Amino acid sequence: MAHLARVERGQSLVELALTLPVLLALAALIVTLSLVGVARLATENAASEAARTLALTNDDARATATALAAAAPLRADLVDVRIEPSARSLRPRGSLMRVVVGYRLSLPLAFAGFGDIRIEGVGVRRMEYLDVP
Amino acid sequence: MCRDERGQALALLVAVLGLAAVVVASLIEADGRLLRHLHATRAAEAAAEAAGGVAADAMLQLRADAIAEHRSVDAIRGALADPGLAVRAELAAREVLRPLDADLTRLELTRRSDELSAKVTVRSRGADGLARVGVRSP
Repeated sequence: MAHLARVERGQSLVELALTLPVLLALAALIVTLSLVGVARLATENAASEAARTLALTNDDARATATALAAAAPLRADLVDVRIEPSARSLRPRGSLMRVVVGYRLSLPLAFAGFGDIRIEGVGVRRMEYLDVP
Repeated sequence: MCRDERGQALALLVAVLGLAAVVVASLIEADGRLLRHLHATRAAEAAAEAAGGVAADAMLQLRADAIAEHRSVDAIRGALADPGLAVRAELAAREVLRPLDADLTRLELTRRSDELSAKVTVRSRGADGLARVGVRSP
């Protein structure tokens, strides 16, 4: 009996060693999914807000600032904003323009070989700005 | 006694795996639902603003014509009386919705006290979006 108890000693440690990596991977997956969800919502929201600002002002700098502010809680230094068409003169009143807000999300699964992923939100608006000389 | 405790951690792992699967599936579903709803609402806003912009242009034109002819005009009534306005507003709304992967379900142009109201309902990726903009008379 004493021999049997000695043999079973350490079994819990072995089981823990087997299960812990799986549990940690699951926790990392859940955190990753949450981060991706937040980033998708934030970029979608930021793109729409930036498109609205651009439609009213035709000002790229203002639209970019709006996107960065609306993208909170994302890190502003990882956010990029692309405006199409890029030239102000190509966006007359009544035309369509598009704002794409991208975010480089660092995954907590980098140790497993999963690098950064890029998440994009798109906003489209009809230009309302009227350039009155 | 000790023998009975064998495999407890593995049984726990199976239970946790099941729970984690439910959590992950719920997270994905909730995230997708939130995003679809946000996308549909934003698309509806863009469409309502596009329709409102067309209505604003029409009212400005009516006002400019009235000033040129030295007469007064109710720009909202005049704009709503134009059968072409609804068509142009719908075209503008559909044009904005196309790149947003959304379809126009309904567009209503009505008078609401001192403004022309453009109310839009859209359907996008299985979710409905609703938005309204009001355009004041110039």
